Amino acid sequence: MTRRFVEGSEAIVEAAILAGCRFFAGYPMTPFTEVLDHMAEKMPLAGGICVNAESELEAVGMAWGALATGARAATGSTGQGLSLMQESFSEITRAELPLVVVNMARGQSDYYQSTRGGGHGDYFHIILCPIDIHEAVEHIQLAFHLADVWRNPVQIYGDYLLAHTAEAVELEAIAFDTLPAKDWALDGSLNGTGGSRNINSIGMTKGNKGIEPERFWKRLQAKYEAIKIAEARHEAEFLEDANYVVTAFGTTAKFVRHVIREMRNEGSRIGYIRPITLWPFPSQAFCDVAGSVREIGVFELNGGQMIDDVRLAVLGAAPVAALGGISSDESGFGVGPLLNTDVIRSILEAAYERATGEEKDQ
Amino acid sequence: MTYLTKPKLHHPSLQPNQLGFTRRDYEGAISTLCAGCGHDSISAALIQACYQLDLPPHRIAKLSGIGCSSKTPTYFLGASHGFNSVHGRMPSVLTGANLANRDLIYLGVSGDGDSASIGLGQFAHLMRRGVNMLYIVENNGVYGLTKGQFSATSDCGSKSKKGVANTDEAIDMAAMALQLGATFVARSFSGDKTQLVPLIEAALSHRGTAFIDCISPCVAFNNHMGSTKSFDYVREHNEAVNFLDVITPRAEITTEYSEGAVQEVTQHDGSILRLRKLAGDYDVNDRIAAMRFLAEHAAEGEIVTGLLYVDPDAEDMHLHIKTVPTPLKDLNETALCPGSAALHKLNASLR
Repeated sequence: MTRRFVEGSEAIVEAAILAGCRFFAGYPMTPFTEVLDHMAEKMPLAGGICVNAESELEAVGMAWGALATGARAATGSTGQGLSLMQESFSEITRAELPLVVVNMARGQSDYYQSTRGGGHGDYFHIILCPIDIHEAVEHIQLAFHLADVWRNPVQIYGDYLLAHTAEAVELEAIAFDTLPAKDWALDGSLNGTGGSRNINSIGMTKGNKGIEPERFWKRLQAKYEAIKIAEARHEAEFLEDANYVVTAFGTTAKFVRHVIREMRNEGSRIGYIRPITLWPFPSQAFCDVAGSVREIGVFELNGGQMIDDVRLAVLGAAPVAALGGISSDESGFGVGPLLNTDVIRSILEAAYERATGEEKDQ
Repeated sequence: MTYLTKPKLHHPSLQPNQLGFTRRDYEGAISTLCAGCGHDSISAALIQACYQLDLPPHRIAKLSGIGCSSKTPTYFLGASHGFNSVHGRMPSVLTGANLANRDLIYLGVSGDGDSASIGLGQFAHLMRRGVNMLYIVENNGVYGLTKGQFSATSDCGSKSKKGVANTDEAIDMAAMALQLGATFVARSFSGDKTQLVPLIEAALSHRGTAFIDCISPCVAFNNHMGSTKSFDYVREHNEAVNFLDVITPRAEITTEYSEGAVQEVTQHDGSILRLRKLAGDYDVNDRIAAMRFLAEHAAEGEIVTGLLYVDPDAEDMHLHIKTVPTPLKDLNETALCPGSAALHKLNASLR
């Protein structure tokens, strides 16, 4: 096993190619641009296609078309670009196409955008939120697999730090279970047999008159219920005897986890939960600790978004406090003064002391 | 966003215009664009033109989208109104503002990424509608803000900084504006201020949609050998059709030209566009000839600049859709709520 020191954007692109992705369309926008740059460079060398589209609107449309033919295809952007793609996301989801979206977000303020669907209609995307490049390499491959398993879009929620910093990582293909053939794809194989296919987002099936939206939407909801049970993922540490639990997501969690490990070493009974899937949200992990902790602190760098999911998970069984807040650099990329282990430490220590009445060194 | 204010100092020798403002009063914050950026020259030309036209800064609204070009309104007309919209949507925001308040002078600043890619649809429909404005595209053929991808105005065969040739055909914004019905169409070059300043003055005096495609080299990502939007390339291939003097109704006509070499156009506001012809008998009033001229010279690799077309009697969108003459914000309660008698009359007219 060899390790290479690579930038997050490059690692994500290589992992996508390892996962069999051969089509990518995007439009440059910081901090996502480098993903597109590496795609443009590496995809043709792998026999794939990368298009620098007219806009995000065109990029998602191209990915939609490529997916419909059965290709593993992806697009990506940052929050603003994803806003533009929402109409297509909504329709692609109802057309049950396995789109992978690489979101290099400008910080953590797009949690709602990602986890609440974002466009019209009753739908969700699976959101994988890596803590570092190592996990992103795993997630991007998992994303293509889950997208095909569930025939539902999967998004990687990364950020500026993930895209623009480098780590030593192993870039190896992950072996997943064999998937069934894409018997829905518009691959031209059935010409003349009368079995040609029709991909649409209104639940229309060939040969039937009318579209029966209610039946179609209920079937999709049943799929989301199954995804909630099967795919919720989280990471946890020190929960056994914790009387205070802090939760954080994405690269911010790496800073928080570091501080919690330090506080644990110094004797604080503090624990840590990190949702790996932002949707489905790992609610059970929070339910399990709600009865035994004094408070759950949510450290997120936004006005308070994931905190809603934590509250919905514990339903009043434990107090939930916002510990983070809005914090950004002058360009608005979400790398602000709160992303600092000394600052986080003072915030967590104060919260711990307030909620448990314990000094950190007791 | 980096924002550097300038000290409020005026050099004592600066001459005030008829409103008592000096050129300094039309400036903005210090530019944060790359040193040598063509866009800064366009900002300087806009400042010069507004100063010379004696435009009251508070009556100008400058709207933009996203990109290096769309950042520039921070760097000129600091005393004017500004609206930074989203990528490619300046045309619709400006159309709405213009319809709601016709009393302002509208300046839309955009780039080739903003107007020729994501904003192409809105660009096209604004031109069709005849919104009364100056629409200026600061055209560098490249996405500068995201570090050097080809834009939709990059010529086929033009090379990127890394040496890769563009394989897509270019969109000619001036040719599109002509086809779509703009009533004032010009092309200029950020490196030629003597050509650009009068064109801006004429465009600001025009009633209807005035469009200027201004080639503006990107010194960081598109000023190398093999690029067709570099300073050197544009200087070598610049084919100016005319040279323009703008004579405002107040100004004295002093320059004399020999008969036949000059075409004069009087605009709606009384300003006279005096065009010194440089390309034979090029007629700025002939839209179809202008389209043919552009296409023929583009095929030869030449960049045609100057005033390409003007309709001095153009109408604008307000006339087309018969809007009320009062800005909507100034309509009083009586006008907004004329009572049930007026409502009955209106309903009766629709029966």
